[in-house]
Amino acid sequence: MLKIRALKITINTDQGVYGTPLLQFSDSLTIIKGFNSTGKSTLFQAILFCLGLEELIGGKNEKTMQSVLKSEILNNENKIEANVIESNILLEIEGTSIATVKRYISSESKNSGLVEVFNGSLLTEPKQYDYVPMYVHDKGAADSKNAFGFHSFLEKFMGWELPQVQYKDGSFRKLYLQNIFPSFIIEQKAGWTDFLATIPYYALLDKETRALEFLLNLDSWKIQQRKSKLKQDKNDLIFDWKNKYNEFKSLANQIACEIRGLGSQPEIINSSNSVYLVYVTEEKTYNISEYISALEEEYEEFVDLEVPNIGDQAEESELRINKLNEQLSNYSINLSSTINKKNLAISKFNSFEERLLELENDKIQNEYHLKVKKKGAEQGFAIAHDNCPYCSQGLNDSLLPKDIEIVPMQIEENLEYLKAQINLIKIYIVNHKNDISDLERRIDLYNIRISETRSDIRTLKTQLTSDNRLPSIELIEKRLKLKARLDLYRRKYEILPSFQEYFKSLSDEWVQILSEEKKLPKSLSAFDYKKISELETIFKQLLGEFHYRSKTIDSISISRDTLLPVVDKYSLKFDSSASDFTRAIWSYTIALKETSDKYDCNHPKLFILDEPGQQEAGDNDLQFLLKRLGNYDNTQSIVFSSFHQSEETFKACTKDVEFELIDLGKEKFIKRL
Amino acid sequence: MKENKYISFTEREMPLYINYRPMYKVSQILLILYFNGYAGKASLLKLHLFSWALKSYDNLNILKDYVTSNYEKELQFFGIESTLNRALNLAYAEKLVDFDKGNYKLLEKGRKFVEQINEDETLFINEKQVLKLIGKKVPEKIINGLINQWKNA
Repeated sequence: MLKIRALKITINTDQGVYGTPLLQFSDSLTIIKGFNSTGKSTLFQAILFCLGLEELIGGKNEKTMQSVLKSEILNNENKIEANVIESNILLEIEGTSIATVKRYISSESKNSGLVEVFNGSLLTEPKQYDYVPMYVHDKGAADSKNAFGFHSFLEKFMGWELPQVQYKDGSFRKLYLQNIFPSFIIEQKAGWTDFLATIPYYALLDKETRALEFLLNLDSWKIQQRKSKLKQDKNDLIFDWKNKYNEFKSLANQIACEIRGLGSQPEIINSSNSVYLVYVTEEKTYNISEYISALEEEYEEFVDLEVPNIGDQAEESELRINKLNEQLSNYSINLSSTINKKNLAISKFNSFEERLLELENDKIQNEYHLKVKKKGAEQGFAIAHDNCPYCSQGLNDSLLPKDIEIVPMQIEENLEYLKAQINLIKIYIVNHKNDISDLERRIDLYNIRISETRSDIRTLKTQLTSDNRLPSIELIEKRLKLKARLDLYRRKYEILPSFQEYFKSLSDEWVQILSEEKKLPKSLSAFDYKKISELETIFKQLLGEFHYRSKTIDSISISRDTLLPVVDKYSLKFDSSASDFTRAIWSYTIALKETSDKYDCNHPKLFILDEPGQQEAGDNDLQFLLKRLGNYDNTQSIVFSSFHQSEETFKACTKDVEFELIDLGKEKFIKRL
Repeated sequence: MKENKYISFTEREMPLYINYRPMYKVSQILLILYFNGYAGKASLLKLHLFSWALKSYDNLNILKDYVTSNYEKELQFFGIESTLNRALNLAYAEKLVDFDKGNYKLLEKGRKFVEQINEDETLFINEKQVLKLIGKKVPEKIINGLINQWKNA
């Protein structure tokens, strides 16, 4: 709840003190009436300024205020009467308690970004109250951790707790007060141009809807929040998964293994054992544990062998060298043919890339053609309509000579054709990329085999040229190598379970996220629907009572997406006459409050309307609006109007209306005191 | 069993090279006259030269290098295509260009249209940039010089 209890403007000038008398507002409807340029707007703006909401008028700090408050005071003939030295506004407000806000507009010593908050009714019961200085608009002003932020004070004062909302940069921050107030404080210049027209720009997604969700305390913003949180979690998990997968892959590469049961994107894993590594040879695919036992067996065989002397082995060694040489040349042939294949694949890949570039260029040019053809058709060019300007016969959209009898595709079809080609080429490119990395892996493998074989041959040859009585180096070396290999595989095998468990837990999280995503209601809860249909009912009923005529009322509804009134999915604005649109804003503004009342939501039970009788909305209808406002016993309304500077209009509009009047008269209201 | 002796064909529509599309080519001609013609005027050969340049990025670069090297780099040859002539005929019939003393000239209707194209920032982005860069730096004299070289060669 928020109530405006009293207001006072004080201006110190070189000609003495000017200002307003103490203005007190009724708990129900107060009408502020005055001729043009007597100071209605000054009072309206003073209220907003004291609440730190001058952004609703468009701008920050004192520059939004009228010159009477910051530079010079004019007399009734618009001549300068006095120069402003210092000015301030006092505003007494009631929320969870009573406080008085003092803000300076023009002052040598006080910054206009500063307010002083007195903890009592300084205006209606003047006493020496204690006060706290607070800041508006500086970075900390809307941050609750900052004890001196006026808007976080005001938020608590009104009994609100503003939600965190997502801004366009993806971050979550508090919804600002300035975002909500335009739904019940309506300024005369921009305020009547659209629903919630004066929300300042804060790079907030769907800012009107966020404000409405808060006023009606809908679950949808919670759902929205939950959704973006889930999306964030999902992205985090994908990121984690990819990182871990790359780590896993590099482990697999180190021991020349391949990963099974797992992809680079998150997926559902049923048991941690379904993720494993395999070692692939030409003959057989081993599971890693199988491979380790095979290595162990091999190693044990070697250990059991007695190390023979070189002399005993000479003949055998020579045979083995021959065999190894044969193997080596086999590997070399395979290597060179694989390299050839790879080069071929690369050159194909490059030509596909080139072709893709060409196709994309073609696509752009075809799009140009489509556009210029449309433009030409708008200008009435015959060629743009596929007609020959000479003979009015068909052109086929082609410049080819008539005797070439082909039927070219229409441009739209041609574009589709190109898009299909581009997709095809993209697939080729991906395939070739995969092929190339496959071939590269094979090349690496051959290189390793070749260097291993060479080293074996070298060992054997060294052995043949050394002393016959020495033990065979080959066997010893082989045994050492095998042992090293076995150790490596055992070490890596030990880490495998940690990966398996990690992926399993990620996968569990993934399942959780997916199922939560499924469980979330689309956007509105059942209770939300109830509130919105209530809003719709009241809104349409009011439209009828205000004599809205631009559309049949049955065709109007409240959008479940934006929460704003629509006709066939389009804003009501486009389908309404100017005066009818003003009526629609009245209806919507009131309907919001009445719906909020019914379900005990967040509306502050306050209306401040500046010249609601815009666009000749009709005296009868204005009378109806005022009557409705005057009948609320729990809601304060302050209405500023000139009533077309006519006493008759005023009488007609306020017939049977209960209200208190502040009459500014016909002349400047701010006078020497 | 009796064999079916007939084979039937369905004629499919063919994709068409973009330079064979009338409005595309006409727009290109207008752009060339607008950016590169003196007072909106250009000879047939000049139109062919620029139209050839706009056919590919390679061609465009050759022309750009030729101009920026102060006509010292080699410009061996540029292509001539009959579709341009047909597009010119269409533009003439549409009263977008006029033919006067061996030169094509931009008419008011054509100028209005090309100004629309120029204002639309999504159209002919690269083309406009390069044509603007080359501007009026290729006088007819240079083109005639090139032609003479070919004749003597």
